[in-house]
Amino acid sequence: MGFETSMPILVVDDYQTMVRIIRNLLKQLGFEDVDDAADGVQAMSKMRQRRYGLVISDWNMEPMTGYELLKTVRADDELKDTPFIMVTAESKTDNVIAAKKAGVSSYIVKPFNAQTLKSKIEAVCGM
Amino acid sequence: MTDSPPRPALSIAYATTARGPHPRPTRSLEALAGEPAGSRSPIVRELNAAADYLRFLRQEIARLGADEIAKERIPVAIRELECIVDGTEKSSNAIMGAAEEVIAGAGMAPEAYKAFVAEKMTAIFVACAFQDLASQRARRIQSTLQTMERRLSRLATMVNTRHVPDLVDFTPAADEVSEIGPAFPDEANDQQRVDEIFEEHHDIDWK
Repeated sequence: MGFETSMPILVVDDYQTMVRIIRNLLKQLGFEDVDDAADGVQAMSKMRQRRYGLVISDWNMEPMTGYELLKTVRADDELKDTPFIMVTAESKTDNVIAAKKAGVSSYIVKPFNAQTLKSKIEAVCGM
Repeated sequence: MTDSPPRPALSIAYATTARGPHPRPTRSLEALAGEPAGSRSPIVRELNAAADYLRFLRQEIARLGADEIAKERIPVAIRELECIVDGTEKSSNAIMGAAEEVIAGAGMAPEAYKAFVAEKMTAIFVACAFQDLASQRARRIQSTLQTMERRLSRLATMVNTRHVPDLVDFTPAADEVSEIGPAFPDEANDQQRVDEIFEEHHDIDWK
């Protein structure tokens, strides 16, 4: 498959069902070390405690959105190189470009399938 | 709106022909204007016109049914939305749970697994019934919004305030990226288009 499946992944979404869906898809792809956070604040807290190989984040969360999380991560010298995939229903052109400008590594539109997730992880993680 | 009464023009002509159903003020307009009773001086006629217009405005605002909207329609709509969110979450969890159990049970004996899968499929079908309930609830919310729109639209037409954009705060959210939430189908980009946008902007350097 070409994945480094031991890589720890952080899934950030306030909707537990979506976390579960992404977890299951990642499991199908062979990833077992998957952690999750319910918003950007929780995610930052976890990222300061542990180095993740990939962050997969929703956009629309409170109190810190995925977009704000992305900008915070990119502004942090320790974390700025962490691959970051936005998985979101925000598919308007302006939002996609804004995320790109903020440094997102890849952008997946909900609803999505395992193949899309797989191809984006491969592209982002250089596999 | 064809079922609406004519809107009074704030004019001398209207003031002299229409009074409306409401009682006159305790103190006569003539007295307010310092004129003798029954005076038809210009200032009394203007005051009459203004009073008529205010009565007309009160009637139109009353027709909004603000109390009924605030106390009945909005609370019901909010409850319906909560039920939709709750029902969707429960159904999703039921479907997810059944699917996860089917995957986890793959090691079972074939016959037992077949019956097990059939049972879980039935659970998934049942959970999908939430769609029907959600549609019915959504239609009630839609009806409330349409009623509010109709009433506000009527008021705006009657008081001739349909086009006053300068008075309305259309300022978007402070975030540079506005309109957070799923896009409507005609505004949304699919994955292929998003990938193309990424390619078109490959030279953007966030650093």
